[in-house]
Formats: sequence, C-alpha cells, structure tokens
Amino acid sequence: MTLSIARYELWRLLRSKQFWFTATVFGTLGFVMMNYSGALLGGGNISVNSPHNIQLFTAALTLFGIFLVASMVAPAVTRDFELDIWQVVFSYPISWRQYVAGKFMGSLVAAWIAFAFVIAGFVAGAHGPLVRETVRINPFDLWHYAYPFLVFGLVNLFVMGALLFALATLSRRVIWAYVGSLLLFILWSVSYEILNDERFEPWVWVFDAMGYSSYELVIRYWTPFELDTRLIPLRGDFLLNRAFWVLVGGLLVALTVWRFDPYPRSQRGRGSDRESAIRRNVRHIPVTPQVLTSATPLRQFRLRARFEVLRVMRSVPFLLLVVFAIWNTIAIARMIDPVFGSPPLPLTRVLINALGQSFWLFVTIIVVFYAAELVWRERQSRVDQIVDSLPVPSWVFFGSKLAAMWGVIGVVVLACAAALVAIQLASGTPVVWSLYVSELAFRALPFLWIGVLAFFFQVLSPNKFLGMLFMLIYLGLSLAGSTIFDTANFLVFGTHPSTDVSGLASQTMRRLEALEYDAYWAALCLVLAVLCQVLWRRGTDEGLGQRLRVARQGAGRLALGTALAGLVAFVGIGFALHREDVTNNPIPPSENREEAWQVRYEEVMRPLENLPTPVITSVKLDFDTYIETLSAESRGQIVLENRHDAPFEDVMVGVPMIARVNRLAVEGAEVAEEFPEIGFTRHRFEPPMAPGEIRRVDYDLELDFSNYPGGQANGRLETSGTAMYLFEVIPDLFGYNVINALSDPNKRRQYGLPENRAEIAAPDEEWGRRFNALFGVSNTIDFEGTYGVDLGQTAFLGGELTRTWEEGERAYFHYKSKAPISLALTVQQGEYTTLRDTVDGVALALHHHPADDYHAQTFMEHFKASVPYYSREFGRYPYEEFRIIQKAGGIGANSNSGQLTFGEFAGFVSNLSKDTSVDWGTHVIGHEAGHNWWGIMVTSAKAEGAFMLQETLAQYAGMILLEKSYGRGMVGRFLRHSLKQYHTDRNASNFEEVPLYRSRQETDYVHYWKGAPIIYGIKEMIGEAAMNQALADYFSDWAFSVGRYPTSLDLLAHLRAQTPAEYQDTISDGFQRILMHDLSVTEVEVAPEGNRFRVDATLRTRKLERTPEGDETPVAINEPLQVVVVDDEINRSDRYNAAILAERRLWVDEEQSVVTFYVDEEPTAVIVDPYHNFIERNVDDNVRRFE
Amino acid sequence: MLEIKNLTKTYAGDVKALDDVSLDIPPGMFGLLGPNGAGKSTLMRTVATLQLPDSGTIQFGDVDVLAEPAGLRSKLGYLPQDFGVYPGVSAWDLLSHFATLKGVPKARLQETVSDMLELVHLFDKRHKAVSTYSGGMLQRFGIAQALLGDPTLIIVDEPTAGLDPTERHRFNNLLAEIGENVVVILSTHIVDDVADLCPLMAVMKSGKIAAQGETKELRSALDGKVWRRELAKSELDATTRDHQVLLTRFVGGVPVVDVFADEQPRDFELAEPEFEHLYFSIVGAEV
Repeated sequence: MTLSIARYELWRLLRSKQFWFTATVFGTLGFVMMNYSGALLGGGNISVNSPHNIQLFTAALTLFGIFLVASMVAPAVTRDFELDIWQVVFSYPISWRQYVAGKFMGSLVAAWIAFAFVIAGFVAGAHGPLVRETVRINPFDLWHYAYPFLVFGLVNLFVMGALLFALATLSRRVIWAYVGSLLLFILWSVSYEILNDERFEPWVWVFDAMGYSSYELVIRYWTPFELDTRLIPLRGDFLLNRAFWVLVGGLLVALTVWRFDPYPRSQRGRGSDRESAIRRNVRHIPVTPQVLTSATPLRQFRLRARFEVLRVMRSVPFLLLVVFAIWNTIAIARMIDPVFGSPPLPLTRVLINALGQSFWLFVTIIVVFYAAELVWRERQSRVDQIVDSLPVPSWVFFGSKLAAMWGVIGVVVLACAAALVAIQLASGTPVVWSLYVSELAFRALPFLWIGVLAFFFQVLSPNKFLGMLFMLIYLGLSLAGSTIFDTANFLVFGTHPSTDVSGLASQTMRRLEALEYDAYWAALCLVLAVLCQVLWRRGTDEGLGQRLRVARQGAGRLALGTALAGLVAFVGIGFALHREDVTNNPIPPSENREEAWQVRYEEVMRPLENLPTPVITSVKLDFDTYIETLSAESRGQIVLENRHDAPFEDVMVGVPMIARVNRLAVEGAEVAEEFPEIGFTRHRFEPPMAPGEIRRVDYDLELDFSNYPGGQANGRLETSGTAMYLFEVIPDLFGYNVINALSDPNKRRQYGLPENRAEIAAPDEEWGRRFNALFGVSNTIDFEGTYGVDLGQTAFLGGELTRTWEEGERAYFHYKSKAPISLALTVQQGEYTTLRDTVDGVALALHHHPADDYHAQTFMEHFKASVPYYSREFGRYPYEEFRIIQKAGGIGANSNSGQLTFGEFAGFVSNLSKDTSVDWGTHVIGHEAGHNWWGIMVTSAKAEGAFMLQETLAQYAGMILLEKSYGRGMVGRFLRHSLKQYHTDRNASNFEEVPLYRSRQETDYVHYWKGAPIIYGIKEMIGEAAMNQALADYFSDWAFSVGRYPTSLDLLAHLRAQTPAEYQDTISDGFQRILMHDLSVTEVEVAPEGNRFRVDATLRTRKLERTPEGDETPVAINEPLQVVVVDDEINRSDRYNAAILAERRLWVDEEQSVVTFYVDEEPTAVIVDPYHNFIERNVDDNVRRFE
Repeated sequence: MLEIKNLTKTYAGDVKALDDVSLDIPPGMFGLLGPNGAGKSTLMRTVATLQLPDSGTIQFGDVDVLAEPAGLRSKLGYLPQDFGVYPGVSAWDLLSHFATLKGVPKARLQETVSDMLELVHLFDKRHKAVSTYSGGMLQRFGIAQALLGDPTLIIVDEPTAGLDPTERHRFNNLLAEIGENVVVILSTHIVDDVADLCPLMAVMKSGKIAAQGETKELRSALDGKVWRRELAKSELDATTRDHQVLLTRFVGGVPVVDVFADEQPRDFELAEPEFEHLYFSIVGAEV
C-alpha cells in the first residue's frame, strides 16, 4: 500500500508542468555552474570537471535543493489538509502510517529526479557543445558524476526532506518547513564558518547536515593532482557525517510516521479579552449602518496592517526565526575570518563588515518565504471569497501585507543588531551607535526592494512555489551577477554599491551616492507595487489573463499615473546614474570596463616590454588635497635620463584616468599619438634623446575623486587614512608595467591575450638582470615634495620631513630625500595619534587611528627591535626616519623607503587575548620593514624567482621578529597557518605551481606561504648566524645596484656557501623541487627508568614529488627531522606553548623509524617537525600523546 | 432592483457555466435552484464581484456592478458555498475584524459583534478559534459575517448546509424577516427551503435559466398533471421509457413513481403536486 501511495504521489508530481519547469531550472543551474564557474575555478591546477569540482558543486547546489524539498516533500501531506481532502483520503482502507510513509517516499523520489537534472546539467556543461576550448577537461567518467549525486545529492535531499517533512506534517503548517529551511541554512553556514576555527574541527560532522564542510575538511590538504583524480572516500569523518545525518533523517521520518495524527486539534483563539461584551437576547438580525467614507481605506489599512503584522510576529515560527537570526549573527561574528589565527577585536566596524553574503542570503530567504506566506494567506485558509467581497480596496490588502513583510525585515535586522551590540558589550569594545544605525539602515534597504519583487512574483505566479522558484532564479542570477559576472548594480535588482566600513574613513559620501541606487529601485518598486495592486487576486478569476482583463477594466487614473511616475523616475534616475557612474566616470564601477582598459593597455604598451626606456632619476611633487570637494592638484617635475647606449626616439606618458591635465610638457618633445581610452600619449623627441642626456617632464594635473561608484575603496581620497601610490597622482613613464595588465589566465584566454602577461627571464638568463622586477629600468630617485592638506590632517611623502607650516585652513608638509629612495612611494594623509621613539639614530614613528591604540605600544617596541637587528645582520639602514602609517580598510600592508603602510585591520585591531593567537601585526611589521632591505635596497631582477627574493626574505624578516619578540613557538604557530594557507591558495590558484626559486608574481602561494617554512627551516638547520651571513653577503653584493639586478641563483649561491654539505640536498629540496612530506608519530611509549622516563616514538616518513605531468610519486628519503618531547602544557594551551623536555634532529632514511629519548620530567607528547621545516599536508598527526 | 442581463461565462475546456442568463430580482427573497454544476455558484460569485462574466451586465440599484465592483461591495453580504478562516483567530476577533472592514463604526462595533454572535448562537464560543469549529458552527459564523452591517444585497450560497434542523429553521426564519428593501438570493438545492421562503425563484440547468417566476404560479402549473402508481421493480425500465418520470421513491419498501403527463396515463392516479415535482419537471428526474 505504501508503495502504491508513493507511486501515486510521484506520478502526481511528475505530471505537473511545474515539476518539469523546476527540473529545467536546476538543470540550467548545473550547466551554468559547470560551464562558467568551472571554467573560472579550473585552470592551471584543476580540470573543470575534476571530481573535486563536481563534488563541490553538487554539495553546494543541494543548498538550493532546499527549494525542491520545501516545494515537493514538505507539503506532501499538509497539502491534503489544505485542500481538505484528508477526510476522503482516510475513508479509504489505508493506514495513516502507510499514507505518510508513502507520501514521503513518492515526493522524495520526485525531488531526487528533479535534482538529477543538476548532474545532467554538469555533464552538458563539461562535455556539451558550448565547452570552451581553452579549459582543461577530464574525459567523461560516469562514476565521477554518479558518486557525488549519491553521497551528496540523494543523502542531502533525504535529510533536508525528512526534516522539512517532519516539521510541516507534524505541525500541519508549511511555514514550519520554512523555519526548518532556515535552520538548514544556518547549519550550513555555521559548519562552514567553523572550519576557520580548529577547536571546532572535531565537531564539524555533527553540524554539517550537507556534508559540505566535512568534505572541505577531508580534502583540505589534497594536492591539485588528487583533487583532479580522486573522489572523496566514504570513510572516516566523512562517512561518520553522512551516516549520522542519514540516521537523523531516518529518525525524523520514523517520528513523523509514528506521531502523525490526522484529526484536528482544538485550539483556543488568541482572544482579546479586553472586550466587555454585553450579552443580550437577540431575536432579529442586528442592523448597523456601514459608514464608508474616503477615510475608511486608511482605517482599513491600519487594521489590516496591524492584523498582518501581529499574525506574523506572534507566530512561533517567527519567534524562532528571530532566534535563528540572532544565532546566525553570533555565529558570523564569532567566526570572522581570523588573520593567521588571530581574529579581529569585535569592534562595531568589524562586526558590521562581517555581515556579508551569508547575512544577505539569510534575510533574502526569509523574504522569499514570507512573501509566499503573506500573499497566499487568504487562499491557503480559504477565507479569500469572504475577504475579497468586502468593501476594501485591493491596495489595502497588498499594502498591509507589504507592511508586514517590511516589519519582518526590520525585526530581523534589529535582532541582528541587538546580537552584535550584545557581543560588544560582553567583550567591552566601544559601541559606535551611529554606525549601527546608519549602516544597518543602509544595508536593510535592498531587502525592502527584494521584498516588493518577491511579492510581485507571488502575485504573478499561479501558486506560491512557482513564485518562490522565480525568486530562486533571481537569487541565482544576482549571486552570479555579483560574484561571477561582475554585473553593474543597475542590472541586479535591488542592489546598491556597498563597501566595507572603516574606522578611519567616513563612508557618508559613498552611502549618499549609493542611496541614488536605492531611489532608482524604489521607483521601480513603485511600478511593481502598482502592478501588484491592479493584478491582485480578487475573487476567483485567478488566471493571469483574466486578472489582466480585470486590471485593464479596473485600473484607475491614480494607479496609472503612479505607475507612470514610477517608470519615469526609474528611467530618469537610471539614466542619470548611468551617466554619472559609467559614461562620465573615468573609473567605471565594473570590472569589465577595467578589463577593457587593461586589455587596451596591453595592446598599446606591450610592444615596449623589455625594451630600455629613459630612467626616472628624480621627482618633484607639489600635492594639494581638498577633502570637502574630494579633489586634488598635483604639480611638479620628473627628470629622465638616457642611460642606454642609443638615442630614444619617443616616450610614452600616461596620466591617471581621473586627472584633468592642465599641463604636460616633455622637454624637447611633441605629442605624436594619443590613446585617450587609456590616458596615454606618445611624445616624439625632437631631436632624439641622446645617450647621457637629461630631459624634464613638467606636469600640472587636477584630480577628481568625487565619483564614488560601485565598491571602489582603494586609493581614493578619504576623510582619514588615505593612501595612494605615487603613480596614481603623477604621470607614468615606465613603459610597459606588468601590474597594469590583466592577470587572470582564463580572462586572458577570453580576450585572446598571450598566456603570460609578462615575458620574464629564467633565473640564469643574463638579459633579465638588466631590468628590475618593480619598475623596469628605473629604481631609486631623488625626491622632493610639498603636501598641502586640510588643517587637522597629517601628510606623508617619501624621504625625510624637513618643514611643516600652516596657512589659514591649510597645513603643509615638506619632504626631501637625503638618500635616494625607491619609486615605490605612497602618498598618505589622515588624522592620527602618533607614537615616537629613536633607535640607532633613526627616528621611529607610528601613526595610527586614535581609537585603535590596542597594540600600538607593543608594535612600537617590536618595530624598535627590528630595525637594529636588520641593520646589524643584513646591512645598514640608510635613512633618518622610519614610520608606520595605518590606512583606511584592508588587511594588507606595503613598504616604501622608510615608510610602511598598514591596512586598517592588519594587526592594529587584532584580538591577541589568547596565548594561542598569532601576532599578525608584529609579523607584518617585520615583513614590511624587512622589505626595505629585501625589495627596496636590494631590488631583484625581472626574472623568475624575483618574488622569492622579495617576499620569502621579507617573510624571514617577519618570522625573525616574531621569534625575537615571542620565541620560536610563535613562529611555529605562524608556520602552521602558513602551510594551511599554502594548500588553500594553491588549490584555488589559476597558476600552476613552480619551484620556489622560480616563483613569479602570480604564484604568490609559493613565495609567501611555502617560502616561509622553507626559509625558516633552513635557518633552523644551518643556524641563525650562517643564515644571516649569507643574507649579509647577498646584501653587500647587490644593495642599491644600478642597471644590473640579482636573481634567485645569487641568493642560493650565498646560502649554499654558508650551508654544511649535509644540508645541501635540503636546500635543493626546498627551493628547487616541488615536494610534499608526510610526517607523523604513529606510536609512542613511555616507561620510567630510575628517576627518568624512557620515551620511544615510532615515526612515519614519506616524501612525494610532483612531476611536471602533475603526477605525484614517492621518492627516496633522507631527511633531517626534528623530534621533541613536550610537557603537559600542550593540553592546557597549544603545542607551541608546551615546554620542550628533549629535542633532537636526526637523519631519517626509512619510512618507519624509532627514536628514543630519556627525559627527567613526566612527558606528555612527542612531536615530529614541531616548527614545520617541511611542507606537509597534515600537521595534526605530527603530535602523539601518551595514553 | 438587481437586473442581470445576458450573462455568459465559459470556463477553460468550453464548459459554459453561464449561458445567456438574465434575471430581474426585486427586493425580497429569491430562490435559486438547480443541480450541481448548473452554474448557480458561478452566478452567485459573479454577482458578488468575485468573477467577471465574458459578456452581459449586472445592475444593482444604480450600481453597474461589473464596472464598479467597489460600489456593490459596500452593500453586499456574501456567504460563499465553501470557505475557511484564518487559523487561530477567535470568533470575536475575526468578526470584529470583518465588521471594521465593512465600515461598522467603532462606537457600535462591540454591540454589533456581540449581538451577531448571540444571534447565531456562538456567543459562548466566542473565544475559541473559528478554525477549530465544527462544520455547523463554522457555517453559522459564515452567516454572521454575511449579515454584518446593513447589506442591501445578501447572497447566501447553500447557507444551511451542515446545520442541524433546529438551526436550519432558525436561520430560515431569520432570513424571512429581512427588511423589505433588501434583495436576498438564496442558492440551495434544498427544494423545500425555497418553497417555504421565496416568493420568487429560478431554476438553473446547464448554465441556463430553465424556469423562473413566482413560486406559487410555477407550482400551480402542475395541478392535475402529476400522476402516481406503485410498481414492481421489473416494471421500472419500461415506465421510465414510456413516461416523463419526475420522481421515483420507495414508500414502505415498495417503489412508487410519479410521472408528468397532461392526461392520465393507464394505471396511474392523480397526485397532489409537490414542490419537488416542480423541480424535477424542470431539471429532469434522476432515475
């Protein structure tokens, strides 16, 4: 019987057009995901249809599958009650239980079939006719598609279906299924977020209903080769996760079947007992005159709005939803992406910035559900005929429901705000109320517009699930628009440009601009609202055609006029916005336009690549900024010298796209050709510029920063914390600068550009040494400049500050370089608190946002320690000043001669309260200060490996500072994160991995995150003195070298010279091969011997090499492994804080080996490679505790 | 007062729900009879502004109903044939809600609601959620909301369905005394209710008005034309074939058949015309 009910249910669903429509939508989703995102994600390292991508996409799309189960499985039984056919159903000789079980089975199979379309879409996307030729595709393997469908598709739909079915069936209200959907969504986002926090790792399988995070956890350390070839094995935590949730699902179904009771429950109304009803004998129909005036609709609206709002807000599901909102917010806030293990302090701006896409999705899902619930409420409870024949205008119904919807949004946003404020109060950080009010109001606006859209879809569609499906399509498109296609805000309904908030820079200007977009959508919403009103279902003519007829007949002038006004406003504002932000905007709000610039730039400038150009030898700059008008004036002179052995015929000069040129004169040259689309002109020298000759370029530019379109937050004039590169404000004379060219290899293929954006020499090719990796032939300059700012601001340029003065409302700062400084120069200004100190005759300063003084003192101490160390160990620091300046926004930092620019969130606001946090800020100080030696004083050649010379050595400087400030444990902790980052970034990278000594700008995961453990590991083996000697030798060879620059081979030579013979292979392994180690302690035994303890530890050692083909093969081992025995601090804190009872480095040349220690104190654990000298995928099994 | 002219409505699949329906209904009770699917409810809903006809006009007093439905809604009391209510709302709250929407002034709200609930004998259950009411109670609540205010057009579609006999009579009596200037359309298939209550009536069949007029007159047209006999079961087929059968029923276990004929058929005796005979003479007998 159960089976025939199931068959009937399945058949009923399969016969509906809606099923096929839904299935098609899911198929399309799969197709687009594979065909487009696949091509975007795949590339250098992973095929588009790698098992990894298929599994990831399947798991991710099951989140959308919530819709399938919410529309098919959840209402399977409830529907019969809504249609009131349950009594008929139960008059047949079937048991309730068979009925419930059958309904579940049938509808679930239907949902499975619909989801199978996703897989079909994948196959079509990867192997169909529209596949791009340029992407890598594995040959078709059915199992690669079927397996993810089984372990993610079937299981997840079963689990979700069981939960929603149980909720809807037992409560007999579909709204409970929506609540369940949100629960699933939150489980999904929480389980994903807790991946960032390793304390929770052992529990991911419990929270993770979809298997997505468990999957991420298992494959986290897989190599691209494995991701490309292997499916996730059904064992360990992943099996546990799948089995656990199938069990949960099964129990839910069993519970539903067991507890289901079809009979109506008695229920007390929520009577208002305030009424003092006078009961009297009534024999006749009481007649009360109906008073209907022009004021009646307003009264009706108030009544209906109150009614709708209260019905929503007093319902248990809504209360639960608010609880979810709070829970979700807390989860988001608790798990803000920590930067290297130390999360930022819960400051108002940090918390608000954390409310990102997951919050947007959360509220949007609520909007989608409530729109369905509200619009269909009368029909669902079959009170529609009564209500529709009441003397109430349709706008009252629509309006009151919209009010309820907006009320829901308001309450949810307020609940989130309350949760955030509570977090702040609990942690004692200052609550910035004004930011909460303005930002949350601003961020809530799109939901209002989306609410109207959801209503509109519900009004149009013949049932609520189709209306929800329309919203799902909208969601998919808008997510794709914002994350993949970079669609302008005009085109993605309801969106406005948004930026993160900064404590330094006020967002007011940007918000005011963005509100124009809200006005634009509000105007469209007005049109939609009128359409909703005239098309409102009134009576039993529910077909859209019939309603259009009614609308044509019934739409009054007012409605028409309003709609027309809305339309005119929409088009008008849209036109104005387009003109302001796109047509008249030199930097349009779209990556596509930026790409067009980049492509054109490459077309025009690439022919100059690796050709000599005049060298920039000095720059003079008079710079004035005006915050009120967001404008600036830039005047000065650039001096060029021909250091080449032949004359130059011409030179390319570029000006910033936002500049208006008052004067641009190249001495002895005329404009020969213009490229206004990229802001460049070719100047022809008359006569040609002879070798040794010097020419001047005079410039006078006006810069307009007043346009704040979509999301551009970088390098603009801010109220405080401005940081702009020199070449954003003066003419560009570098020739072809690779930084300006399009980097993404997939996009390069799309535009038909050559595979690499730069032709770079191999380390051993001599020609590469003629150019440096930063600026080609130019490098250091004499600099002098005056910076005028509004009073109250402090301004920074390159060189030493020689004079400051005030004139009226303006302050002026004059800088001059006493020793040549790098062209890498950042123009900065803001309102700061300053800490000052002096060390070895160098004046140190730390300029930070007044509110962000949490670690300023500590940073100054560490800064003060770093400069003398580098001076002593690497080479003398040549400048009189060294300053750190915090800028608005960002977690990155950069380095100029004597000046370091710190992102707002790069350490200044880290939460370092735990003894297991990494002090990222101190590392960054060391890293960026180190760049003054590695990158600025020694500039590397434009050859492969250049970025190792800059970044890996800067990492070394950063880690040494961490070691000097905190000890080796801090470095170990840092390296653990570094390894994790290496794996993550490598797998996400579009660029194939290269050995460290050949790392290019694009393979940043190599020179930053693989470089750090390698360089520190070598130091650990050969010792700090030998390491620093090699660096000092390298420095003295190449510092301030002009015209010839070092490659990675030069550094390696110095390193090898300081390295004993036994470690020479280790250097080759680290720098010149792509290796992966697998080190673990498999067994430990401890036995007391006298008053000491004997410790035996069994090690497992493996080593894999990645071949050029991408394969991985085990290779012979002979590794100098460090093994330590630690005390029980490891249980109280982390392994890096544990005291080392015994330590030994030993050579291991077998897969299994045993090492024996004797220790005086009771040991707790044995650790192999405690400071991560080797590149490992799993460092968790390096520790083994005694039983 | 209510003039319905040439209403036609065709549903998808070429089902003609209304086929050139014209009715002229003066104040007072008007009965609308007809078998299931004859188009009664479509007609009721069309008059109640819940549906548009394909063609035709409806005029109520000076209101052109199809052109300005709002004008009619302010005068309408409507009880649909099949309806539900918002879950979890008490009778008191819900009736107050409807009353306010209908324009009952605040000052008279309590009194109106209280009286109306008492009228339909739901006062004691006023705090209970209407959604949990039994069928009869729900029907009474429906009646109460239809009668709220001072409607001049009351349309009740199957109002007594589900009511017990006592309540049914009470309701019929209430309807009967509704004011003189009010049009009450009672759509039902309980033939006797129309006979007892409505001076005017119409019978619908397949979307058409098969007969209309004064109830008494229509019935008197049958005087001397209804004939009856008892027969054996085996004779039933032949009788059905040869006569216009109005009604077949069992009396004391024996089949009795009533037929319509201008002259006395053989073996039949003259019978007193009943209202049911009228109904079946129009819509055809069920055999």
